[in-house]
Amino acid sequence: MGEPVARIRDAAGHGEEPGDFDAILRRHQSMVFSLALHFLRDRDAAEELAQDVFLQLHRHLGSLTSAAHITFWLRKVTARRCIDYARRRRGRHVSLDAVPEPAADAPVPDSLLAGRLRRLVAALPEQPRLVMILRYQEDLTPAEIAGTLGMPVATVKSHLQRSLALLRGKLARVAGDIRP
Amino acid sequence: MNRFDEADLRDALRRKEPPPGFAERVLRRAGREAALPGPRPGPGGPRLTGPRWLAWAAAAAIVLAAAGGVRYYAAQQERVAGEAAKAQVMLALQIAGSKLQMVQARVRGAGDERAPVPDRRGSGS
Repeated sequence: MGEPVARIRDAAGHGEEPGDFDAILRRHQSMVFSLALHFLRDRDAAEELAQDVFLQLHRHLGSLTSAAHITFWLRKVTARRCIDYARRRRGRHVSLDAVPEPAADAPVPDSLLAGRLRRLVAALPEQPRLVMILRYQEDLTPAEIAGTLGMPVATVKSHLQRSLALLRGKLARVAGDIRP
Repeated sequence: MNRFDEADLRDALRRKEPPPGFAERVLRRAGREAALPGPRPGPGGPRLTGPRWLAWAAAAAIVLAAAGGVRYYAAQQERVAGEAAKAQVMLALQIAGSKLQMVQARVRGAGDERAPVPDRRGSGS
């Protein structure tokens, strides 16, 4: 399917044939979809955005030279599209302060804690939200995040520190207990 | 517990699989897009259609026309400036000529007033 594409090799020398848009798509679909999902917290919007990212990849595959380049490109384009999407629907943005705090009841099972963390991350402003998602979903270093988002490393570190403090503050306000 | 560390964040933000059939839907859309007739937009937007030489010829014609226009305009400006300078010189010459005539007239008038008086010394003693 698709048009001819240069053979793409990853760092280990494994090649992907052109048609291997299919293989590339299947290899990276969870990454792209999850970036969009954690950013938007809307499955339908995340799928639409992820589809658009892969269609854009399909058109540009010939200009991408390695598997690492494809991964970098996908993260970068997905991040940019997430920001664009968020700006288009900015009127409906909910600030971190507006997010309801978890109820102060019995200890929360981990799955609920995860859900609360996802909600709080999704309520962060756009740039810090992307930084947090790239850090904890993709396990990127601050330098890699800076390269992907085109911002200084110091800004990335600042976003990480402030976002973690905000999240801890939100949860601690209820629990009154922060793990060091 | 309402406390967390980085491992909790990694767990909360771990990758999720897209809905079933996601890849097939993307492949269908890509196939439909590839089947569309006409040029496909590149990274910089829509591309020019037609032979490449035609685009180059059009670009060259535009550049030549622009250069010719600039030179014509510069020549026109030069000619207008030259004519203005010529008019100014002519005016200056006219003024200088009339002043010269006035000076000549005054000099002549002064000459008439100083007409020589006959010397009578020695003629009556």
